[in-house]
Amino acid sequence: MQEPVLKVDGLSVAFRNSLAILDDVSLEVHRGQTLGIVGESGCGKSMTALAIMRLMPSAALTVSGGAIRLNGENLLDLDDEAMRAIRGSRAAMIFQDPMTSLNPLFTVGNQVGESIQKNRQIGRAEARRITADLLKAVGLPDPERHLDYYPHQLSGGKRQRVMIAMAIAGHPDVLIADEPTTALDVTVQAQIFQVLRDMQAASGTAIVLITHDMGAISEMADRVAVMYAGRVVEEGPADAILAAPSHPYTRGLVSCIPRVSDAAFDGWPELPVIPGTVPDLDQRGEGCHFAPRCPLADDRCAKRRPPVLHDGERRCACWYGMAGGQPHGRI
Amino acid sequence: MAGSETPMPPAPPKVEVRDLRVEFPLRRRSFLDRPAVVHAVDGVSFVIRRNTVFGIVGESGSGKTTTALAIMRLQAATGGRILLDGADITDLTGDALRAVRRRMQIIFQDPYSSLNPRRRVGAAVREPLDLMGIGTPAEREETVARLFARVGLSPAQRSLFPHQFSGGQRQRIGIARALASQPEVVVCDEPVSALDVAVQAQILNLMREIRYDFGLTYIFVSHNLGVVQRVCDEIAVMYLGRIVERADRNALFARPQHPYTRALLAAVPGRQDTGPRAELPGTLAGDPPSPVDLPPGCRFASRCPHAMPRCRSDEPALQEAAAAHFVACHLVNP
Ligand SMILES: Nc1ncnc2c1ncn2[C@@H]1O[C@H](COP(=O)(O)OP(=O)(O)OP(=O)(O)O)[C@@H](O)[C@H]1O
Ligand SMILES: Nc1ncnc2c1ncn2[C@@H]1O[C@H](COP(=O)(O)OP(=O)(O)OP(=O)(O)O)[C@@H](O)[C@H]1O
Ligand code: SF4
Ligand SMILES: [Mg+2]
Ligand SMILES: [Mg+2]
Repeated sequence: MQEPVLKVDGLSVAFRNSLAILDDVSLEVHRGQTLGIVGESGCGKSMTALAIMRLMPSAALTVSGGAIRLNGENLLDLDDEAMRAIRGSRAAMIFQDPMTSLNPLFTVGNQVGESIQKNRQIGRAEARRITADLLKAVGLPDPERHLDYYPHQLSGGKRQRVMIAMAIAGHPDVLIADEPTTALDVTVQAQIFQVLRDMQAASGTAIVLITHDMGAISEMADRVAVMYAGRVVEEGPADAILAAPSHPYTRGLVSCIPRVSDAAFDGWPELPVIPGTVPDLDQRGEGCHFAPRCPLADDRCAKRRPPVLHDGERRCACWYGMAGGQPHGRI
Repeated sequence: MAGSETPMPPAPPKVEVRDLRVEFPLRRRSFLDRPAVVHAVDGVSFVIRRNTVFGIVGESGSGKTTTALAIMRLQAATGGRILLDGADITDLTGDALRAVRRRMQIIFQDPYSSLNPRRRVGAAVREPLDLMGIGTPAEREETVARLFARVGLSPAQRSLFPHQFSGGQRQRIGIARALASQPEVVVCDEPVSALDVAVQAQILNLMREIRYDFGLTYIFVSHNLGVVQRVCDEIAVMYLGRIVERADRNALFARPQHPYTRALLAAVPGRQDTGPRAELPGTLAGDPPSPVDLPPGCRFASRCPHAMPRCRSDEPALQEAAAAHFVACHLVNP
């Protein structure tokens, strides 16, 4: 099999050198494929993305182990300048909050144009023309007019579309999209997914899509990784996992999401829930982090880290998950 | 579940909205500009029956929040009438207005920004009681403690500040505050969209219990169609200030008729392509026209895959296309 474009291998991130925010996270994405990452708030999805881009939000957060390979090259070995050159060209990111990555002082045309010129030897007029095409591609009406707007003059949805235009401008090898459509209408979301798919088909970009939306996963992702409290607890082909989740956490997550259904409803049915909340960093013991909320948990779950079972294309870290799975290294 | 679509004897109307209009004047850049207005809500009518949940869905900017605020008399209407329990409340002022406002409360989308960071949360929940002078101070404190317990918080947490709570807990505080004045109608404006999926289900279950316990009528604004399908009895679909379709939720999801509703349902990611929504159209292109310069004819015509010449000249009226199923479209009502 072809080497993955991005291979995260046993990545750990610590807070103040003691608390584990990410604990032995391994993921890979192949050319032209999409990996979805799901999990509740605080499970480490954004932290995984930021660590890959080497954009740690604070000095108290450090990579304490593992490797991040982009086409075989370990990004953790690069100096800041080399990393800056990679960001925006070979690896790009769409952030959860669009305002953090748009500069309020520059017009849309200048910002997107600059990220195009960074990668190609072209003049300003040409960059402006390509920018207008990109804005059109992400579904902004009247792109010529939007070139001269400042970020604050745009609605949230339009800002998000500008961010996406900027991220795909350089035809990156890897695009990490952190909740790119959460704040948007479903119709706008559908447009944006179409843009991402078109770009992926045209340039073979590998996409990492972070989202809460299982519908988005089943529509966009080839594979999905489920994170819980800093660890990957289940990973495999998206369709197979959504249809028959193995890990008790994935099962809970899939069932508590009210997806549009073909059934008829009467009154207001009670929704299935996962009781409790994700444990804080200093409340995560040695055993399975999901044990306090898990319907199957016993003493062993609470005390010992569950093995990673492999079954064909799938892996799952649970003492009781995956009946036919075989222990095989770490997840 | 065949029986679920046979209508029960209808409950009496709780809220009636007749031809509601809300316009916002736009600031002119120069005195030469002609005065312009945003037609945020442009002739909307519906009846919400007592103890039911009335859903409003539609694109960002379609006028959902403005409609809800106008019903609560928190936003001035430019035209139309609003009735609560059959009484016209459109022009109330002073004490009468205050009395009516006490009967309607709102739960906002963002539990982070709707609470004052420097105020203890117990005081925030007590505030509506203080403002409306309900009960003695001791009685108010007791009510607040009871509400905290009811929404799943500990009464001892009343003395904490908002930053000491998670998003889900803050939304519980928002719910407690909305319940404080014993309202009859509660507007829920995207009440769970800022929350994590697992917390979302917990909060929806709380809203469900409270609705039955307190006999509430809900106006539920959301862009999450999976949620709307489960919680709303009736649903209005808004597009650019107008209702384009209104029906019982099961009829709306099984037999969407307006091309915009159909596009909306088609855009839900990951839907199974087997059920009644299998042959819905593809991605909706473009954006809605400006609410300032409204086009003649149907407002959806510029994006509608079925638009006919007539759609660009005559505005379609909201008409009953099937029993209790209203649609504003020339294709559906020729
Ligand atoms: N700057 C920071 N300093 C210390 N801890 C942090 C920092 N940013 C995040 N964390 C912690 O790291 C953990 C993972 O957070 P992360 O933002 O990756 O979650 P997430 O899965 O992206 O959640 P969400 O769905 O809410 O975006 C959380 O426990 C969070 O409190
Ligand atoms: N105070 C205001 N001044 C001027 N225009 C306003 C004001 N409030 C709302 N509008 C405009 O009125 C229209 C309807 O807005 P409204 O907030 O009701 O939409 P919405 O359907 O609730 O959208 P969203 O899903 O984004 O919350 C929009 O065009 C909006 O820009
Ligand atoms: S290891 Fe135990 S506690 Fe963890 S998910 Fe599996 S059964 Fe539940
Ligand atoms: Mg995040
Ligand atoms: Mg709104």
